[in-house]
Amino acid sequence: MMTITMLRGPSNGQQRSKSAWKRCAMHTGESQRTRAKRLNATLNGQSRLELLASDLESKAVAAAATGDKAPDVTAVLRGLAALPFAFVLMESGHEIRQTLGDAIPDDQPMNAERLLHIQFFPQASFLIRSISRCSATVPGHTDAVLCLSFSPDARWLASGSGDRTVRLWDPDTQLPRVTLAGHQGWVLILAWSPDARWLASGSMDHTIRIWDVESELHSSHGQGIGCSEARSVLTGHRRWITALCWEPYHCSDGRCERLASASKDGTIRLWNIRTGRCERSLSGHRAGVTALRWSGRGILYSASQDCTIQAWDAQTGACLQVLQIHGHWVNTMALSSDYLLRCGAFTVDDETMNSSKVDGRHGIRARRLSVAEAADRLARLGAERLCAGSDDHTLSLITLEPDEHGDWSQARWRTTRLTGHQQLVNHVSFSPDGRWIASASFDKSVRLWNGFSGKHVTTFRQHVQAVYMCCWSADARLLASASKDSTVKVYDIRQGGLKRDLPGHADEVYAIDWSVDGRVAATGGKDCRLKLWR
Amino acid sequence: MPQGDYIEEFRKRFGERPDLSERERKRRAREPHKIAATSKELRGLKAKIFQRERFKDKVRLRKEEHLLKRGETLKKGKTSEDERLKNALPAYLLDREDAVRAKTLTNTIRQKRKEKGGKWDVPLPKVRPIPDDEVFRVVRTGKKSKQKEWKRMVTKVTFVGDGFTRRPPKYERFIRPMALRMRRANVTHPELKVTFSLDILGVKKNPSSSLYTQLGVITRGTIIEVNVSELGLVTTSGRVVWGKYAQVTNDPERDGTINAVMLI
Repeated sequence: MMTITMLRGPSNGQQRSKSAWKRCAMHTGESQRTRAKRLNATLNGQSRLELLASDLESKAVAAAATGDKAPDVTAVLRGLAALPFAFVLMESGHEIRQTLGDAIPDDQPMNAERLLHIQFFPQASFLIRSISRCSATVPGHTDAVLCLSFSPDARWLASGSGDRTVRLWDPDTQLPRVTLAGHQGWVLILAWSPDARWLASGSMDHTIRIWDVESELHSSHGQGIGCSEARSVLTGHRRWITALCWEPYHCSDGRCERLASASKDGTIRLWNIRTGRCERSLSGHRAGVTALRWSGRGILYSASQDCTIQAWDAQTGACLQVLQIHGHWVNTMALSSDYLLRCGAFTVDDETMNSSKVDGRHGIRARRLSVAEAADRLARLGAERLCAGSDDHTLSLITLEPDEHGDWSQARWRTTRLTGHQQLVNHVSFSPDGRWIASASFDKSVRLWNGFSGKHVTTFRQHVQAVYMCCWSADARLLASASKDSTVKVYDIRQGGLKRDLPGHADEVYAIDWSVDGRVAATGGKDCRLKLWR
Repeated sequence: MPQGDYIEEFRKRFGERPDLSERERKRRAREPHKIAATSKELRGLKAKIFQRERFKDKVRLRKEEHLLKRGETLKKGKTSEDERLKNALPAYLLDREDAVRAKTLTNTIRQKRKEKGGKWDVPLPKVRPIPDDEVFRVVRTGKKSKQKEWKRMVTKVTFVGDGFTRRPPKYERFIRPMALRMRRANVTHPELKVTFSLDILGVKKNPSSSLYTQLGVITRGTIIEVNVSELGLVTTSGRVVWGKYAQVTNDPERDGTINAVMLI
């Protein structure tokens, strides 16, 4: 006989303690008592999942009687629930794909006393089709493409290059729209404001330029390729700009006017783009700042080459925490809410993805949100987790919580060390649902980790050169990586293997981005070409 | 002989001597006299070298003087900024330029395989043909020595593949000595100016004779195939390049190593 304990999935991610979970227990041993009992599981705090225990149980009993290992739990639950779920064995972290029997490792014998904890997660109800072909190779840049970014509403693609220009492309027609010239040096980093109106670009010439995309596109509408000047130039940094980050949509009450920038000179500056002034300069790092994240709770995280990660209060500019976790440069950071913060004022949810209603002019699949909706959406994701990748070949998973009084300066933080890479970690990224962490390393591998516990899940060793970046599809089922070996590879998370190998670039691929609605992905690299994949 | 830093040491302890500036001024004033005396004295090559330097100095002085008259300053050469603006790098690679770039093998350098007809656009187009008697030494075997002179010992460096099994000594016609067998070559990438130590996969062609090719004799000008799999080269179709050809540029049997240039 086997006991299955069903636990409520951590729908908001933070409830790790057993007591916090609502238990829906079912004992096949006590079948008489529980047969009539209904299983209630609350999901997302909203939709109610009702399961007929007896249905599930009768199968379990039947399976035990016939000597089968375990019943097909997933099929039963899938039939009952409207949403697709992922079921994970808590001990081993294995996902139950076909039957429970398949998921249980062979070296762990089953017996009647064994209690299995199964965790289940709602998954995106839409399915992103894997990119499979290069639909366009667009020349235009005259030097390597260094950064790429789709706008939060998935209407535009911006690319920054070594030829000192930023170009805006229309991913639908696959044509260039506007060339934004003005920088004196390589354009290293791009950031779209959450309302998709502004584009900020940071450059080697120590300046940040703000472009009013909406008016650019309107002024050049119908005229083909236009050329324009920056709305404002933010000067102040003394070395090149390494990272840019906009204030989250809901924190700014929908105004989207504050921008944080990090530079090689070790400072972080907060700008107000309406006034064009530097509000604050945060100087706490002793070496160049490499990554910047503005969390949904108004905390600014910065990673630096002085081996520390610092947390700042974005309002007052006070340094809240200095985390000395790593032994070498911290290269990259990711927040579990990255995807939502990036989408900002827009959403690509089940409704928009599944509906056939497509905006006639642009084919938008993103729906605009109110501030309250955006805040609510973020709150549902639960506590934010921060993952940092370092030159010391490890990653760290950090949770920062304020103390009982909500005081962040007394924040408690827990870290988990994620070891396994044999070379420095260049890029980490959380899956849109926050369940997985993918890390790209110079040891030619991409590793997949559990986003909650930090346990290693699998390694993708397909590249033959350093992997520079990785990015997720919106439904968190696919992962794409760009590498020095000039190829892009797409992995299937559920199958745990290579899904597509996409050669085509003639040289190193520096940047990759998958649009928030998942229709198209873009890559750019040393061969000066921009490639769109569908 | 280096005398140590006794002057600096003295100055640190006791300060400069009081008449230092006066002495230096005088030394500077005597400098042209000293130079004139040297230039009169020197003969031969030393004089040539000295005059060359002096000429350069004078050119520089004249230029400076000329610019000074026009109120300009001497222009510096190419700035490092310009140099750096050539090959753009993303933010995450900016600080590790040296470490990462050293091993770069770019893909834009296409692999051209001109196997057909054996036409090679090689760095060493002409090599001296090596006669048989230089490569092979006659080995006398057997008791009735004068008659049995049909074994040959190769006196050049050879490459012997992994799968080679010796034939029975009775039927063995060529001896390739263990001491002259080599498995690795130092291969230089001509465009990147980087050298790698790579495994040899085989001898593609020895220009002197097809027999040498068969035997794996490596002399100057020989085309060898080397294993580049660890360099991570990828063709545009996404496949990993495994073997690449290289031409030997030195005399391996004299140097004890094989130096080669990759053919691209």
